[in-house]
Amino acid sequence: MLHQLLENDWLFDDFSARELEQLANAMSEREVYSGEVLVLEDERPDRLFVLLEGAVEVSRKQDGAERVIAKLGPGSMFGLLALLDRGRRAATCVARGRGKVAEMPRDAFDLLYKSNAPLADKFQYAIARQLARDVKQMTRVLIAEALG
Amino acid sequence: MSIDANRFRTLFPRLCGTLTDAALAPLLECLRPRPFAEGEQLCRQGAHAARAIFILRGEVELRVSAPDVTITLGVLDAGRWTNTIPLIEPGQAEFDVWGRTAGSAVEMTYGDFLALRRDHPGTARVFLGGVISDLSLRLRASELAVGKKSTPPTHSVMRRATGWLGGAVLPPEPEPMVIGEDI
Repeated sequence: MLHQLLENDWLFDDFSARELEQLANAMSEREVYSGEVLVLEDERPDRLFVLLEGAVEVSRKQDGAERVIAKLGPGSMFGLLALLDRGRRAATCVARGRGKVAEMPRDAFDLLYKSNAPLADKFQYAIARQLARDVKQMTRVLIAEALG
Repeated sequence: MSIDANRFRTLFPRLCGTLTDAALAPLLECLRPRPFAEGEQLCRQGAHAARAIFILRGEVELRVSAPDVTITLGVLDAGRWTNTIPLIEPGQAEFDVWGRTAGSAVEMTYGDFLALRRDHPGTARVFLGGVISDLSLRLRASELAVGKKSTPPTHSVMRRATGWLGGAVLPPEPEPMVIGEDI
């Protein structure tokens, strides 16, 4: 069951069993195959992903080539930024090896994020945690580049 | 001592959203005054970071150092803030924060924010929405900047609010999602 898989995710460690069920009801679970493009840079976002099993590589186009900027493991939320700022996808995310993801359609994301339900508070905090982690990682990359 | 609500609202509109004065009060009450002098260090790279800094007056400079080089990442002035990540996940500071001029700020600790979430979830929600919006901008800017390493002195100034631009050009700021409008 999806809510049991989500229970193991660090992002949702303060969710009650009931809240995990509610969250799972807004998502669907599916398997992904190696090389599957889950998010394509510059596209309009239509869903949020939580990586349940496997690995995902994040890359951006740069000088005509793809540059890998991050590698994600189970427990990561991705495809988040464009849903939050209503822009286009910032990067491409490709499954490396077989895996499993949970998907939340954009409508469900908007509904939950803007809701005033208690679950929305925890969902917002989970988003903040993922975003904080992403920003820290990118900051390290930029600092390393700047320092040479 | 609590900061004046109107002043805070004017300087940090994104953190206040449409909170009424009554809903904003608990947020202001958990902010602690932090005056700083020119050349004073407010945060040290590598040290445990557990507080966010909101600039009311003056300027601070963000610097990062390696054994043989120090670079300025940016300068923040009134209405800008830094170090909000420790409110979400305390950890090591990624950079130094120095007073570039004398000034004043207010600080919020991780513990303050946890208490705000527990006791005033509606207020915390709007505040965190502002922080998320800012982190989104930073992440967007960072992803644009990766691989576009500029050379001194052009890499030295981060003119946007809290972005890590490194010379990148941001797209027009999109309309952020609004939450908790009824609080």
